[in-house]
Amino acid sequence: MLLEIRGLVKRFGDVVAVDHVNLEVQEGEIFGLLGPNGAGKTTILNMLMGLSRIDDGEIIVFGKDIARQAAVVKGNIGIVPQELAIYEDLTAWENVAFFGKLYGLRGSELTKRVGEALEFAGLSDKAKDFPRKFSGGMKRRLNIACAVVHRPKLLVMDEPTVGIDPQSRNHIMGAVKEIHRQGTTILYTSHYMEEVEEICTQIVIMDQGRVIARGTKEELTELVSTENRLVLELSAANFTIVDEIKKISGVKECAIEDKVLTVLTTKNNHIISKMIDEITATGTEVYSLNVQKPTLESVFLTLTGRTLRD
Amino acid sequence: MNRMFTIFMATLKRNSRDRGSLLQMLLLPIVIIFILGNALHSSFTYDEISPTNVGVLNLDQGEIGGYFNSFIESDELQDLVTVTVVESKEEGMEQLKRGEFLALIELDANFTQRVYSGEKVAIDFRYRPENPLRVSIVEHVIESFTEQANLTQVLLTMGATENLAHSSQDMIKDYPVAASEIMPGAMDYYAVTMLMMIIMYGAMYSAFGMGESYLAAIGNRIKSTPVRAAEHYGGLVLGNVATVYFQGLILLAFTKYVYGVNWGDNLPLILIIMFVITCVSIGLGAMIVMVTKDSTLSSGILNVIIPVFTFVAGGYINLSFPGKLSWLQYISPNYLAQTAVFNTIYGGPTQQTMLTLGGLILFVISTFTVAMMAQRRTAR
Ligand SMILES: Nc1ncnc2c1ncn2[C@@H]1O[C@H](COP(=O)(O)OP(=O)(O)OP(=O)(O)O)[C@@H](O)[C@H]1O
Ligand SMILES: [Mg+2]
Repeated sequence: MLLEIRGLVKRFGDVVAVDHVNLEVQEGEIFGLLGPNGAGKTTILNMLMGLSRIDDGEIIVFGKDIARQAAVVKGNIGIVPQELAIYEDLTAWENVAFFGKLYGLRGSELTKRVGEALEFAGLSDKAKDFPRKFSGGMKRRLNIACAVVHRPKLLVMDEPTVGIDPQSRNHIMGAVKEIHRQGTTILYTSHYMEEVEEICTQIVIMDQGRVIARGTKEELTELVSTENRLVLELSAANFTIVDEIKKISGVKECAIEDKVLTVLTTKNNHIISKMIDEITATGTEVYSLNVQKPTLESVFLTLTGRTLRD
Repeated sequence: MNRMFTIFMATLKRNSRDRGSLLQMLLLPIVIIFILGNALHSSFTYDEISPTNVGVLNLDQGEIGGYFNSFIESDELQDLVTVTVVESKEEGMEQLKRGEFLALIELDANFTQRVYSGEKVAIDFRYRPENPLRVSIVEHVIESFTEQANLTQVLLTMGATENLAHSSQDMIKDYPVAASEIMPGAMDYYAVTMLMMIIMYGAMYSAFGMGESYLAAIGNRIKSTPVRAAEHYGGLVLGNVATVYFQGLILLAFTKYVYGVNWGDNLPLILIIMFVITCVSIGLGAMIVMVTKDSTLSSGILNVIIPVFTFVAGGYINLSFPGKLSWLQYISPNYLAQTAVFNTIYGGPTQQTMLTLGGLILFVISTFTVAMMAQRRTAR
């Protein structure tokens, strides 16, 4: 176990920002911490980094209690803060070197690592530039470079892609996969479903300080979904077919609008072939078929009755 | 230590790149000293400064006591001191307390006897603290007399009894009290007060620098590395102290060599005083930002209190507060530092210099204590 959080509690006055949270991150995982604004994600990370006092519970990293062996633990963690934390009046190189030195790197080792970190962030050609001239995406990438310069065992990323262009976002997603491939365990915080779905091996969904679901992406979607939504595009509007399809066992709902047929079914793949047989038997052709599997978005919706981005 | 040095160097580097602040800290005072130094020159010419009121209690009936009376009332000293003769110590102290004069000079009954017996003598005097410049004038006057008295004593031991007969006029001619040595001109005055003001404005570096690098996102990021809190805080404070101290040195050198400002003979002590007031300034900025947790608010507060400190210290126009309000000046760190500097340059009482330095050091310690407590108390 690389990171273990047990019964973690944090209160701000009457607000319970983190409410008895348990988390276990295994070595080699990309662990996704998903939740809407105010779920308590950053608060957990602040307690992990020793920036915020723990009201109750404990955090154990690399088998060590962070309350007691903070220095050792911190040296092996890299943090990408949610809020940009770079100096605008130091060059990209100087920024990364500054944090490299604080992590104890010196001399040629430092030079080599800083170069690697900048390359990793796709900023090699901007090494001598000042971040105040950077785009939002470039600043975000520099923010990441500063966190990986010392090759941490655990990389903690707090919403590293907030408010950036798709190109930088793709670069960051690629970089996360790459650094994971090299053996770094990653704790990835986000409220973008797509990102977490794309990269994370284990996911915890939080809301209002509490964990409301956990598991792999498949386990989570399985957990809430007993139905598939099928959308078929037909060659003609065929109203009689609706009744026929409703007779198939497992079909819950069926409706046609113009030439588009929408069918709600239980999770059973045989239904699809039976349906297509029924349709073609009437002489109507199926031009396209789209199976809409449940997403984490729908998981969250199901669990909380709210969408993630409201 | 290494990590503290890293933070120290980064702070220095960032400050040195901050051109706006550099202009304000260097160019601005150079211009202001020039303007004030020349525009207000006339009000600073020596003969327009009124003589200082002193009380003299002369209990010595001997020969030298007599010399002293004619010395202190001689024409040469009329521009510097106005003498009131008092009859008893009680009367003198009473008048001093009432502020009727600034200093009470006392010659004890055995003064002449002590000089003749070969003892090295000094003349006692008590003073009101509110105007150190005037006190230093009085001290100079007394010193030039005791130097004579002690010289007399040397001559006596050499057997030159007759030489004692030389007149008090001669004494003064031999040891002239040169006005330029005991009082600053306008340029000399403003070079000191503006240097103190600018060093105090150095507090802005810590208000913004500590706000960013200790409290805000970057501060948290630095705290997430294995750096210890003391190294973190210390590196930032020392980086800002070094920045402002270096700027102070440049100003001192510029006013000394370009404007020809008189910084006196004891430069090491001036440099120490400058260092202490720099620590006061950085400590003050750090304390305010640690308490308010807000750099902009802190700079607003500093923008109010530093001009007040400077005004109270007589930094813009030379002022002294009437007796009862004189304590007001002591809340101003500029005033304490200025007093110490003027005392050092113009030979004012050393004891007072040390007292003001001590006061400043206390101030530094309390700002850091408050800053640390504010840091601990924060609900995190
Ligand atoms: N310093 C603080 N003082 C008071 N309340 C706080 C503080 N920090 C966080 N909170 C509250 O704790 C809750 C959790 O906040 P947190 O920042 O951890 O959420 P988050 O999941 O990171 O959200 P986001 O996606 O917006 O970053 C929120 O209700 C927030 O208002
Ligand atoms: Mg957050």
